[in-house]
Amino acid sequence: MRVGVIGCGTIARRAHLPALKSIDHVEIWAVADVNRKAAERVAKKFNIPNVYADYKDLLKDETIEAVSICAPSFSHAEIAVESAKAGKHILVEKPLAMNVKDAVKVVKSAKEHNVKLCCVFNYRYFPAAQKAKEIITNGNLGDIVSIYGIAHTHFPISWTRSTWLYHKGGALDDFGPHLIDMICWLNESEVEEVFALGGDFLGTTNFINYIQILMKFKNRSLAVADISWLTGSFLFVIDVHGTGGHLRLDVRYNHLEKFHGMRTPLDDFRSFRTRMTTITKDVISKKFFRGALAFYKQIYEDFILSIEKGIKPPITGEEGLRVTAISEAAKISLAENRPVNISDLIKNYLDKRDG
Amino acid sequence: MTMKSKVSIVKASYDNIYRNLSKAIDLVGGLDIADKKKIVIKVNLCDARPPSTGAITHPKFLDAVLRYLRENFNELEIYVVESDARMVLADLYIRWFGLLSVMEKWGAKWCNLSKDKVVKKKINGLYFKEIDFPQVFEDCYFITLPKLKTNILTKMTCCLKNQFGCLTTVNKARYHRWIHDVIVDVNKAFKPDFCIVDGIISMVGCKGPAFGMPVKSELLLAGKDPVAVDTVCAKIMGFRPSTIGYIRKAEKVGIGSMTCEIVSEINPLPRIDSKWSKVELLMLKLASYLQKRASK
Repeated sequence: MRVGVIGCGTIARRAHLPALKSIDHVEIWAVADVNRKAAERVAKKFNIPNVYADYKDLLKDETIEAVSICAPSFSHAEIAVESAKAGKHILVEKPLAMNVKDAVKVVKSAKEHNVKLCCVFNYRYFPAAQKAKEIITNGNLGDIVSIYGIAHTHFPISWTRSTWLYHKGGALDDFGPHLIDMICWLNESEVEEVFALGGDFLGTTNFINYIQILMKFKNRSLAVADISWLTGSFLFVIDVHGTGGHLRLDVRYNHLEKFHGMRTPLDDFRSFRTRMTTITKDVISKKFFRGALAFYKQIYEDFILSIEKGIKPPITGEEGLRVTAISEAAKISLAENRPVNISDLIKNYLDKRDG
Repeated sequence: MTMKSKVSIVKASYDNIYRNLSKAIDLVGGLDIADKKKIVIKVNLCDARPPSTGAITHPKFLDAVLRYLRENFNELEIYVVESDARMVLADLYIRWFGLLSVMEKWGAKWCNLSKDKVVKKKINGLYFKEIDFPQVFEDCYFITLPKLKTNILTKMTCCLKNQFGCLTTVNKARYHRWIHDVIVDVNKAFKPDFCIVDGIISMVGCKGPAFGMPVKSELLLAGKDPVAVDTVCAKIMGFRPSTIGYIRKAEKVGIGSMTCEIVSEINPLPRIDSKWSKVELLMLKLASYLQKRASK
C-alpha cells in the first residue's frame, strides 16, 4: 500500500514516518510540506521518492491509497476534506479539527467519499490503558460514578520550537484531546453537558494554559479533566470510580492499580510491586523512553487492516468529532460562564449543513 | 588578584524588594556608571517556567532594578537582553512571564541577542578564539541579573553562568561538554560590571536549573565581581566554591577573585542546602562528575 504523509514536522519525523517505515507492506510514496526544504530533508532521511510543497499535488497521485495528516492542527480539517475528495483514506493527528463545524465537515466528507477516517489517540494503546478498558467493559468496577483525569504537560517547547501551538486553545487543543478522549473511551457513554473553568493562569499569554472541564455523561456519571501546561511535569493519570471498585490508570507510566471496597495495605503493596516491575521492564526494553510514540506502529497496522478488510478504523472520525465538540463546548463555557450541551452543539452544525 | 571583592547579602521578599535592593547595591559602593550612555541588563529565561518556580527572573525583581536605575540614571538608555535557546523562545517568554510590561513601564528596550547584529570579537579564551559579540553590548554598563539555582551540569548557576545566555546561537547545548571553559570565555567577552542575584525564590535539587524545587530563600546578593558573588552563592547553596570548575577557572584567568568580603547584617552566612535531600545532592555531584569526565 502506498501512503503519503502531509506535514513534515516533529510528529511526522519522530512518530509517523518511523512507524510507517517499519511496516512491511507499506511504502511511503510521497511527502508534502509547505516548507519544501524540510520535506526534502525528510524524504532523504526516510528514502521517500516524491516530494511536494503543496499537499494538493500529492493528492493528485492516484497510486496513493492513504494519507497521514501531520500538519499543524489548524489545517487538519481542510486537508482531510480535500483528501477525502481525492478518495484517499485518512489518518489524521489529533485534534480532528479546531471546531465542531469543521470536524462535522471532515466526518461527512469521509462518509460521502467512502474513505476510512482515523484520528490518532495513541495513548489508548498503552497496555495499562487497554487493561483498564477491559476491566471497565467486563463490569469489574460496576457502574461508573466519576472519573478524574489529569493531563499536565510542560509547554510544548520541549517538543518543538514551532509557535503555532500557542493559539487561543493552548493546552486544551494540545494535550487536552488525549485526556478527553481517554475519559470518553473508558466511560463508554456520551457526554451530555460540559462546564469549564480556567483559562490564562499567567494573565499575559492569551491562550488557555490551565483548565478544568466538568463533564456530565448520559449514564449519569461525572468526569473532571484537569489540563495544564504550567506545572512542569508530565502527569497523565486517570482515576475511575465505580459502584464496584476503583481504578487508577497512570497512562504515561503504563501502570494500573485497582481495588474494591475499602483500600487495604495489601492493595498498596500489590500496587507498589506491579508499578516497580512495570517501570523496570519498560526501562530495560526502552519502551519507557519512547512513551506514547511507541504505539504509532500499532495504530497504523490497525488502520491499514481496516482499509484492507473494510472494517471500522481503530479510532473513528466520530470519536475525533466528539473530542472536538467537548473542547469547543469547554471554550464556550469559559467565555460565557455557563454549561454547554454537546448534542445541541453538534446538532446545530449537522442541521445547518443538512438544511 | 588578591584584593578582596565586596559582596552584599540582604534579606528581601518581593513585597519589600525595592528598599532592600537599594541597600544591597549601596553596601558595595553603588554603580560606577561614569560616562556610559547605556545600561544592558541580562535577565535569566532558561525555560518556559513561571517566575514562582524560581527558574527565571521574577518580574517584580526586574521592576525594582529598573526603578532603581530610572531614579538614579534617568537619562541613560536601558536594554534588557536574553537570547533564544533550544528551550527558550525569548520574545514570547518576556510577554508570558510579565517582563515585557515591566520594561514598558520603565521605558527599557528589549533586545533578543539571537536577532541582534553581531561582530566577531577576539578573546583567545579557553574554548573560543573569537565570539559573536552583539552590537547592544558596545560601550555599555553591563548588569547581570542571575537566579540562585542548582544546575545539573555545573552544580550551581548564578552570575558567571548567566552570561552563557549571551551566546547568540540557539543550539547552546552543543557547548555543554565544555561548559566550564565556555562560561569562562563568555565572561571574558561579556564581563558584568555589576551583579544582582535574585535569590528571593531560589531553586534546589538535581532537576535544576528549570525543574528543581523552589525555595523561599529571601536573599538578595550584589557585587561588582561575578567570581566573588558566585563564591558566596556557592557557599549558600552548600558547595565548596573551589569544586565548581568555572568559578575556579574564572579566577585563574583574572575575571575576579574568590577572596571576598561579605557585607551583610545576616550572620552567620545563610544556607539553603538543608532544604533539599542528600540523595539529590549526590545525584547532582554524580552528574557534574560525569560531565567533567565527558569533557576530557
